[in-house]
Amino acid sequence: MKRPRFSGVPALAAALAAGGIAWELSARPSSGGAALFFPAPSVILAAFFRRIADGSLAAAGAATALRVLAGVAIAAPVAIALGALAGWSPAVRRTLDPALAAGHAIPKVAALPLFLVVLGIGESARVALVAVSAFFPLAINTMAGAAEISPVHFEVARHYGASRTRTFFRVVLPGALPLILVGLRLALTIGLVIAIALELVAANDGLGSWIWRAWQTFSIDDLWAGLLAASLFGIAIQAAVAFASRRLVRWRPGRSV
Amino acid sequence: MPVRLRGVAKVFSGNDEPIAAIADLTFDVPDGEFACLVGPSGCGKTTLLRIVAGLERPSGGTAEVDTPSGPGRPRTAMVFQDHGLFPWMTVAENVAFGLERRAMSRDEKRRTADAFLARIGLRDFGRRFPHELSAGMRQRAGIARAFVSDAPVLLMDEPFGALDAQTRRLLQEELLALWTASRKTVLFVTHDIEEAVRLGDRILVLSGRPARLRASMTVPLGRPRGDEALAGAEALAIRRGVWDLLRDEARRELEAAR
Repeated sequence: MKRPRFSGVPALAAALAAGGIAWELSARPSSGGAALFFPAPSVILAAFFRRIADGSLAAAGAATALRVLAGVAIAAPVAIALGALAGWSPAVRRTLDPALAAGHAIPKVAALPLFLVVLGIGESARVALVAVSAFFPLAINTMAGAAEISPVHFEVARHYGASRTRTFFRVVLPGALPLILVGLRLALTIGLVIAIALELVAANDGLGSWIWRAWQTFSIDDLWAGLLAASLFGIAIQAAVAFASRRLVRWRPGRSV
Repeated sequence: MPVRLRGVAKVFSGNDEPIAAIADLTFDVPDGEFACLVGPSGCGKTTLLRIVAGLERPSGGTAEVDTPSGPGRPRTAMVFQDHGLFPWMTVAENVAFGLERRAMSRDEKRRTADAFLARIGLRDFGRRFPHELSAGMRQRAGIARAFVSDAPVLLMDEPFGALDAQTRRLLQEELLALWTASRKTVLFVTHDIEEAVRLGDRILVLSGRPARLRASMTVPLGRPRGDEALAGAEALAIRRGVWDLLRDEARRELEAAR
């Protein structure tokens, strides 16, 4: 089956180009003070490539990426296992669903001081905060994915004598996989946002720290280069999850992520 | 008797009042018989199969399946209405699921499934996913899973109900060939009288809800049943006999639905 994989790209490129040109033209020095805080795209791109080339922005990006990946890697097994159990068993869901709703609503960044108290001022507190933030969207999506599985499939598994463990691995997990991947995409993105937010105040490396330092030294071009790097991470996350989805969810017509 | 039903009843607890789906069903299906259950739609035929399969408990009476069962060999194998294949498993994996409880290596299961797929003309489709197959091929795979399990009793819940007429004919012939070779005991639910006459040794006619046994009719036709035999006077007589019993029930259902 052929998918029109790139059909959205020309339209997006055209829109970006049009917006970019308008921005570029309006950001001339003649337009006054606005250009100071909203430099022209050409200026931002130049700063971006300059900072990638000198390694400083690349290092900041790598630090953030590592934090996000570590946090999500810690959260994912727990979130997927609990979410799948909750989606599978109504009894577990009744208990877990309110807990997930409550935990999800807490702004994790606001809990940073508590993490620092418990885990000390260091990498473990940062990674833990990313992990906790990534946990909820992944667990909730996994639960929805498992709850959506048609009862017929459980009936078939029971009828042919599949054990609970086999049913979990052969029915619940694969059945929930499309939504697990959606959850993974959200978890990575929220992990990125949280990592950058906490780096603003509680790290010496990473994109958040980069952006904050650029602001403090009034290097507005660098600040924008940092924001651009963050949005590129967003695109990378989407592309990676879509790739995984194409490989792992071949059994479903169309795509979910 | 592989299948013995004694006074089986089923009552569902509805929202307002209990709904009686089955009332006092007693019949046997002897070894190797192809028994067709016909009845008006919504009369509890599916529920009855689920009770025989052990997926549902009767509210009253007993449903026994008494068959020799080896280790890991299920007593019954159900072919589900809309094939019931797992969309995330390949066709071969789905068929191999019939061997779930068998003490076999994964490779052995795979080989057994592949061999059966080859037998029913799905040799080249083992690595495909169900959504890549036509409806007829999917139901073939569903039937393959039930046969591969080697359960002595097959329970088939309107397996061809959703297929077009030609595919249905083809699958009926294939099912008969598989059954002739294996001589399993079959309990086959259908609402299609013609299908029941074509396939069954005996036709059990059920009433509308709550289901009771209206009649048990032996199909007086030899096998294989050619088109001549199926268009003959005997076939016509039994078709008419079943319809005479069903017509009133069907009409009542229709009025009730209005």
